[in-house]
Amino acid sequence: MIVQAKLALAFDPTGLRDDLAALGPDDWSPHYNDGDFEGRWVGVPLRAVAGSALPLYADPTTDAAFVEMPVLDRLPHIRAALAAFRCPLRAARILSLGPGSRIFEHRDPGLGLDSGEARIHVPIRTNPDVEFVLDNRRVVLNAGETWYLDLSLPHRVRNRGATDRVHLVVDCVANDWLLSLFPEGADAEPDDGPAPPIVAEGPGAFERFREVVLADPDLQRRLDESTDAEAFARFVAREGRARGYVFAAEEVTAAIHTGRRAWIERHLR
Amino acid sequence: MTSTPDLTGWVPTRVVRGEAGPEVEWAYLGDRRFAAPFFEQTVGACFRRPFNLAFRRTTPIEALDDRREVAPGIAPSGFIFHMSRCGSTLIGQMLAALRETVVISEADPISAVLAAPGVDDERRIGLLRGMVAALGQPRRGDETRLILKFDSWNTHQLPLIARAFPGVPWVFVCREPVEVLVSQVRQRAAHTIPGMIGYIPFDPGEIEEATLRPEVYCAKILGGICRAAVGPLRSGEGLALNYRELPGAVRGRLLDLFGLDPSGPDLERMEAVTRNHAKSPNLPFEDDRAEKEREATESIRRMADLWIRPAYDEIEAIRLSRLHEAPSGRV
Repeated sequence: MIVQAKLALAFDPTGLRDDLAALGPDDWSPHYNDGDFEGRWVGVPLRAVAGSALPLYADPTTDAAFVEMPVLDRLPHIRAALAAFRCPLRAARILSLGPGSRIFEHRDPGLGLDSGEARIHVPIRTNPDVEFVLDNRRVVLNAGETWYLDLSLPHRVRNRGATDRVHLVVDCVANDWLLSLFPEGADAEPDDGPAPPIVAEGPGAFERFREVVLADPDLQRRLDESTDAEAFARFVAREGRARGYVFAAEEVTAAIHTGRRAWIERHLR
Repeated sequence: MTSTPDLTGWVPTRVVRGEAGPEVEWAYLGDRRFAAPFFEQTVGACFRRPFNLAFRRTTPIEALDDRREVAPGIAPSGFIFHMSRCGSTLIGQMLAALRETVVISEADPISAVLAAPGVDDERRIGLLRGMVAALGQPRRGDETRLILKFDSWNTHQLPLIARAFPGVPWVFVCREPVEVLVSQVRQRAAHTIPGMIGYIPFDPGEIEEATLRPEVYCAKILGGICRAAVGPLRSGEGLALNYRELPGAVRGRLLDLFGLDPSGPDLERMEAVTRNHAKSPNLPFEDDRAEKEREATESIRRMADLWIRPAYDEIEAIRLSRLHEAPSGRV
């Protein structure tokens, strides 16, 4: 299972950005998941199910055919970018996350290479203060690059910058051409660098790492942003290992269970 | 740990008995706001997040003093006292709609320090200041006003609270006793169930009475709360508001009293709150006065008159006399 990969395909971001200028306020619709974000998250459907009431909704399960939307006539560079994909395309959208806005952590099941589908991101306009976090690892996506991301894993976005973060998002059916764009050796666990000397291992290591966390406000903030219990446990174990504290994610999961029981029984003691 | 822990982003959620004395239990709230109608709901949301579950944190209660020294929080702009079931949640939610405010509504740890056994007044005041400072931290960073809505039974401690925070304006909210009593009998709050709140004294005979005739016990508790507000109101310190004056009086007298001067968009957000049910914001607001009057039994009316009305009438007299003194045109 590949978590993320920068593909051997790039676009000139200038042309794509020029196209954005051709879009008027009426072209953008609000994102349909209005409980999952804060701020401004809007999109332009480029390919959608014909006659759909929710053209921005890219249903990964539908059997219906996706067709090009008339708006593409005004977007020559983006149309050319879509044409560069030599694989069957399903939904395609422009999605824009406003300054100060955030998309809370969630999973998009059925959107991994394992299910034969790939959601490809091409950043059109972005800024250095965009935090895209996939499975609790920050991924920096630069304008014009083409990225595969396994979005069935928990992910969240926060635009701490002052400008919109605009991506071209294309749902592809995986074929040999698409697979050939993946770099050699792309695999499940992105490399976190060399492991530091071990400070604590085995029983008590997690307890000692707790002290480290409770003394580090920035680490607390990052850990708290992870709301998916399973991904959180792996995240804590990874952050522990990166600091020399070696313990299993299962210990974190056990601590979550203990904490939940204590919360439920808080009035009984 | 030897040094003072950095509690940035953490808020006290409860006071618990530890092995070496009282302890404060904290939850990580980060830069999230107290947006829910009640403190406990915000805390509940915290304890659904894996981080708070896996990294539960308690400190000795003395940590409140250290915390206040490094992070004194926002100085309170106003206090809300009330007799329960009288519109105080609506007031809290209206004020919470303003961007500059942090509104703490019925926080259990505040009641806990107000009720802590074996503590003299000076120490209690210290603990209260520490707890308010720890709760009243800016959340996004740009808030400048802190409003505290107390539990209804905290009205008994109004003089001590006023001593701890001299000069902070406060309001006492009341409502026609029959309507409040109907609401309490229909769905009991913790303070009208004997023994649920350790602070409220009761004798064993009252438990039986409360079981057989809840309106008797409820009426005594509610009457006690109103009586506790009469003295301080009479001395001219606070403002009395009646449910009947809501929401207009919030926009008028209460914003004035608390020194709040909201912008246009803030006023619109505040207005939007009044259209919904305060305790269940996804339901529309309904005026249920007529319905509550219909539900009142003969016994409920008698108990309301016997135990609550005398103090309520005094509060109403004070409210109406002040209203007539107020400059014309102010609601």
